[in-house]
Amino acid sequence: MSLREYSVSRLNSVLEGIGRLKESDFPYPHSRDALIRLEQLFFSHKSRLEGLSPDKRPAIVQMFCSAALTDLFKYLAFLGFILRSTNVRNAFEVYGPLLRLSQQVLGKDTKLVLSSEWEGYSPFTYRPIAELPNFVLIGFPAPESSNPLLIPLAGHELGHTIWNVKSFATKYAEKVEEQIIAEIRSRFEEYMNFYSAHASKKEDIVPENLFVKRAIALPAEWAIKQCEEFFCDFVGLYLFDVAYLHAFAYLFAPTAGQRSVLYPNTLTRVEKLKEAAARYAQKVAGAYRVPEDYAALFRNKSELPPNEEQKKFLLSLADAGSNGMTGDLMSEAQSLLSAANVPLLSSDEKHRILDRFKFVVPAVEVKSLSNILNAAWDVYHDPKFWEHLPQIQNRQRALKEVVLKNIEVLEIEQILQDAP
Amino acid sequence: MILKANQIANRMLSEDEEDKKDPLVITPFPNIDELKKSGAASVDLRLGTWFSTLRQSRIPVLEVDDELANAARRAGVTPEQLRIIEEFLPTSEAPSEANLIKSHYVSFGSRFILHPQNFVLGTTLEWIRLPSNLAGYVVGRSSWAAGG
Repeated sequence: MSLREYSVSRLNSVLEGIGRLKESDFPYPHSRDALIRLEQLFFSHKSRLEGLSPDKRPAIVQMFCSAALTDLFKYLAFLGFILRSTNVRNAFEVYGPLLRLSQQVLGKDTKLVLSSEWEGYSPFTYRPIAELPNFVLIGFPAPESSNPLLIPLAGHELGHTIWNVKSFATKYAEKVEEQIIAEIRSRFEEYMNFYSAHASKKEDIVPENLFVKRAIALPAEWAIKQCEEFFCDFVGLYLFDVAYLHAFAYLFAPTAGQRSVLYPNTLTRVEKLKEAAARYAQKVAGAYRVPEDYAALFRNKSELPPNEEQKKFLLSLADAGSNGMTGDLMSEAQSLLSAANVPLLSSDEKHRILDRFKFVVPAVEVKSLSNILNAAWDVYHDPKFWEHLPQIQNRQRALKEVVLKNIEVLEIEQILQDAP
Repeated sequence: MILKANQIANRMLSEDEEDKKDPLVITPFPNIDELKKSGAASVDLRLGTWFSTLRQSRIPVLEVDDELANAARRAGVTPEQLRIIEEFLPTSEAPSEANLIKSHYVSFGSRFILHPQNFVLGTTLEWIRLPSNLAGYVVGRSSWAAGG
């Protein structure tokens, strides 16, 4: 066997697999579109390898084989993600409204794949995939993928795509570095404990100092990732109002596991969400009202172990870098989404929906997903809401059903409205 | 008394306080003018997006009562044969809904093809709430049934 034969055989296997996946019952065409684009990628690898003349230099053959293998490693899990987008456990009803929302923010050619996984208990997205430009990829934890009350968390995942499309990491990199430099200056002695050779006085701590530049590379990278998470939280909050906070608490409170350097710690996230809500509330009367006891639901994740003193110091720099940016990030999310004219929560609409939910029927002409989901959370938190209906034995199931139907009614109305 | 379509429409639109407390709701709202003009004693409902088919490979027999003989008769086997089947494919525990049913989602505008001799359950597009003094039943359209 030659390297090239191994590679072609591997590609044949994955192409056969994709062929079978293409026969799945796709509820929406975008999942299939994504699959076809990956199929084209593997076809192109295959034809390139098969087109190599037998006397081609081994180094070139190796390079092509390696490129094909790299893409196999890169995309195999993603093929599973596409397959699971067809699973009937998913809340397919939310697809249309979420696609509309994504297109409103990112442009009409935006495509959406909504899926679910068993791998982690957190909604997720994929880093940008070159073969799939214009795709928003959102996954929910499988056990909750039919729960429409958690849809606001899709707003956070949409935020990641916005962050990448708008190249915000590049936009904010310099400012984050400045924040970190300022933090080092304010804690100069502490810095010198770890990096005594980098400077002799506070004024030497400047971005042009190559030692400093190197030392802050890691915290700056972490801080940018943390900024992305803050931004995504603000996007989710802006789009879905307090329904985002409830969904966030439902899935993540009080806390679990050890902290990742790429995320702000939980209590900081919650505090910044409260700040953002206060800021957004100034523009919309009666909206973004954070429950008083909200922060008490959460605990911080455990910090790094004590023996990692240097890493802890660097992480504190990253935290300072990202915390200093949250005001800008709140404004960024707000101006971007208000420019896209996304529908926000209307208190009157929410109460009109609640009046219908009292009878366990969906409301018509509700105008936005946010109105439905915020009404849904009000019902969820009110154990007496259906007190007059003793025949409802499983409140959460009844709520889920009526909410999904209301989202479907919203979609029907929007399809009819868009019809020529 | 069977309500005529215009009575159904009036009941849905009723401003009477008692009716508002216990309303008749059909969502999405049917076209009221067409409903009133239809002259029927019914409301046309449309197929929704979810369908259920029976899983054929999970259970040997679908028992609706404890009578083995009845179950065997329905399955076209003798009680003894049914006992042997159940020995290999035990069904002593009531099968769950997920064990019996396969769900299918069909997005708006797509098709669900029902082949001859097959059985399928479909949700209606309309969500219906009946007040406590009304009852309703769903039947297939006879014109479609006549078409086979």
